[in-house]
Amino acid sequence: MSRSSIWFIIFGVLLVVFFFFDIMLGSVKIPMDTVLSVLKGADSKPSWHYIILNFRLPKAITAILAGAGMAVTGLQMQTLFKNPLADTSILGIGNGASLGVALFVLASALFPSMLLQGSSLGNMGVVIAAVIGASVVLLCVSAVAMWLNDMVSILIIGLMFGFITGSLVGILQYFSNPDMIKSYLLWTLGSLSGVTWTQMKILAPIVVTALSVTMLFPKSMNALLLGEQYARSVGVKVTTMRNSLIGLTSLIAGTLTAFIGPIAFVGIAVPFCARLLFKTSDHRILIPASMLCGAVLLLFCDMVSQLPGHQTTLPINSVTALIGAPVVVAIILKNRRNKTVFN
Amino acid sequence: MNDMKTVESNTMHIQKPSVTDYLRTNPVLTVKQLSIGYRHKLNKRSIAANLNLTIRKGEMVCLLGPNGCGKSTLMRSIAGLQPLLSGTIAIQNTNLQQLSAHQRALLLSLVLTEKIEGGNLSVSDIVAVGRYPHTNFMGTLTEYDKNEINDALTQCSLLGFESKLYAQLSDGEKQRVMIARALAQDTPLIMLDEPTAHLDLPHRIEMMKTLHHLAKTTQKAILLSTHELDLALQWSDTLWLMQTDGTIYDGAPEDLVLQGYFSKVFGNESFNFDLKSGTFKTQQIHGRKVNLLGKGTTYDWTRRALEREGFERDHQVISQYTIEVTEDNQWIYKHGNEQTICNSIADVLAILQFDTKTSDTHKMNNLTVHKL
Repeated sequence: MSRSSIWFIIFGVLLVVFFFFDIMLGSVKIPMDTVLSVLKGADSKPSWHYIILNFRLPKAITAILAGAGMAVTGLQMQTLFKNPLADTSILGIGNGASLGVALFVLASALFPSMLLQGSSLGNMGVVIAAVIGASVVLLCVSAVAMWLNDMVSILIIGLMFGFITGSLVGILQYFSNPDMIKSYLLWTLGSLSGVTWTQMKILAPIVVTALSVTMLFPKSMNALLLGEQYARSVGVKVTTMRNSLIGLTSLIAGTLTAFIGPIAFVGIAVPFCARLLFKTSDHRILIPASMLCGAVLLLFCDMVSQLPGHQTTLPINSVTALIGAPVVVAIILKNRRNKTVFN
Repeated sequence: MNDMKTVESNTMHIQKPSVTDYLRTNPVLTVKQLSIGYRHKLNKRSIAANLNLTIRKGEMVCLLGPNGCGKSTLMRSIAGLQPLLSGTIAIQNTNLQQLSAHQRALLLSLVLTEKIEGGNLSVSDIVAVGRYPHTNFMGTLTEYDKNEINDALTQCSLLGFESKLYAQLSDGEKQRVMIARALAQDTPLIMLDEPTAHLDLPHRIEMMKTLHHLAKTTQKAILLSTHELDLALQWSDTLWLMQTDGTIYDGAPEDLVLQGYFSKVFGNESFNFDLKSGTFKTQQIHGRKVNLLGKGTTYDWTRRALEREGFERDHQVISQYTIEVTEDNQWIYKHGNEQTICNSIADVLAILQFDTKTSDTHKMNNLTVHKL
C-alpha cells in the first residue's frame, strides 16, 4: 500500500474517533453509548439530549469545517504565493473581519448615537459585521489582484491592508472602555461553540461548496509549482485560476473568521505537516490530506480546550497553537535531514 | 526611440539556392513580418522589426547574439509570453495569436532559465506536468501518457531517476529533467532559453549534443537562445545571428562565418573574429614586437600568451626581443646581449613586461629631455 493511503486511513479513523470523543467530553461527561444512541435518534435524558444535539454536535461539525477550511485556504495561499509561510492573513481577510467586529463592538464609544452595542444585536451582529469587514477587504484585494499581474505586489498590498485595519482597530480600542475591549478580545481568541444550528445553515453550505470547488484545481495548482511561466506554457490560464483561488479562499476564510473568530495557526501548520507526512507536492493528495489533518487537529484541540474535569473552556485559538506548534517542531526535527521541505 | 523604425527588411537571407527553398516549404515555425518590442501606453519601443524566419522539422536553430540585443524579447514573443507589435507567428500553419493557452500548449513547449523550487516534486512529477495539455481536468495519466513520459525520460538518459527529488539533482540533471518535461509535452516546436546557462563546459557540450541528437531522432524543431558562440557554431543546423540593432542574419553557421557576419555582430576595436580558428582574438597591439622561434604545442601556447599580452610577432628578426622555445620545453629569452633561460611562460612574460616597460619609460624620459 502506498504511503499516502496509509496516512489517509490513519487520519480517517482519527477523524471518526475524535468526532465522537469531542461530543462525549465536556463539562458534563456523557457516556459514549448515550452519545451514539442520541445521534441515532433514540430518546435519553432530556438535558443530555439537548446538550448533544444543540451544543456539542454543531460544535464538532464546526471544528471539522473550520479545520478543513483553514487548512485548505492555507495550502492555496502557499502554492499561489510560493511561500510556505503564507496563509489567509496575507490577503488581510482576517484583519478585515477583525475591523468589522471591532467597529461593531467598539464603535459605540466613538459614536454614542449609534446603538450598535453587541448586546442589543447579539451574536449574529458580530457575524454580520465580520462578514462585511472580510468582504470589503476581499473585494479590494481581488480588484488589486486583477489589476496587477504580480504576486509580490498583491502580497505587499495585502499586508498593507492588514496594517491599515490593524491601526484602525488600535484607534478604536484606544477610545473604548475596558468592557468593550474585553468583548472584542474574546472574539479574537476564537470559539467553536458559538455556532448555532441557524448559523450552521449559512456556514456549512458556504464552506462545503467552496471546498468542493477547490477540488477542481489540483491539476493547475500542480503546474503552478513549476512557476507561472511553465504553468502558462502547459495551457493553464494562470490569471483566471489565481483570481478564482483568491475568491474561494476569501470566501472560506471570511465566513469562518466571521463565525468562529480568527483562527491563525491551522492554515500555516497543517499543509506543512501534510507535505511532510504524505511526502508529496501533488495537490490531488495534498488538498484532501490537508482537509483531513486540519479537521483532526481542530477536533483534538477542541477536546483539550474542554479541560476534562473542569467547568471552564480555554480559547481555541490559544490551544491550537499550544498543541500544534510543538507537533510541527517535532515533525521538523524528525525530518531534519530533509532540507527542502517546502514547495 | 519611441517611434517604430521603418526598415525595409531586417532579416537578411544569405544565399538562398532553390534547394534550401525546397526544404523550407513546409516549416514548423513561420515568422512573418514580425516586429517585436514593448508598448507602453501610446509609445512603442521597437526591439526588432520585419523579421522573416522559419524552422523546419528536425532542425536545431540557435539564436545567437551579444547581451542586450533582444534575444529574450524575441524568444518571449515567439513563446507567446509577450504581445507582438505587428506580424504573425505560425506553428504548422496555425497562427499562434488566435489560439487559446491550451491549444498553444499542444504546439509549443518551453524550457526556461528561471529556476524552479522543486520541494517535494520528484522527477516523474515534473515530467508528468508536460502531459497536462493532453490529460483530463484532474490530470489523470493514461497508459499512453505514462509511455510518453517514459520515452521522454529515456531520451534524456533519466531512467532510474523517476522517484528522485528534483531539488537533490545536479544542475545538469535538472536541466535534463526540464527538457524531458518539454519532450513529454510532445509539441512540434521546443524552445529553450539559455539551456547551457548554469552548466560547466563538459555539460554544456553534452547538452548541445543531446539537443542536436533529439532534433534528429524526434524530428521536432528546436529553437534555443544562447550567447555561447563556439557551441552554437559547432552544433546548430541554422544560426539566427542577432545584431544589437535587431537585425537577424540567418543561415548555416559556416556560411555566416565565411561571409563575415560574425565579425560584424560580435567584433569591435579590441578583438576580432579569427576565420581560421573560429574564435575571437584580441587586438591589443601596442606596437611591441617579439620574435618567437620554435614549434609544437609549447610554441602554440606561448604564442597565445604573447597575443593576450599584446605582443605582435615579428618574423623579420629586427625585434630586439627574441624568445626561443627549445625542444625540452624551456624558453630562451634574448634581449640585446642578455640571455635568460625561463622555465615557464609566466617567467617569460614577466621578464618581457619588465624590459619593455623600462624601455618605454626610458623613451618617455628621453622625450621629456627633448622637450626641455
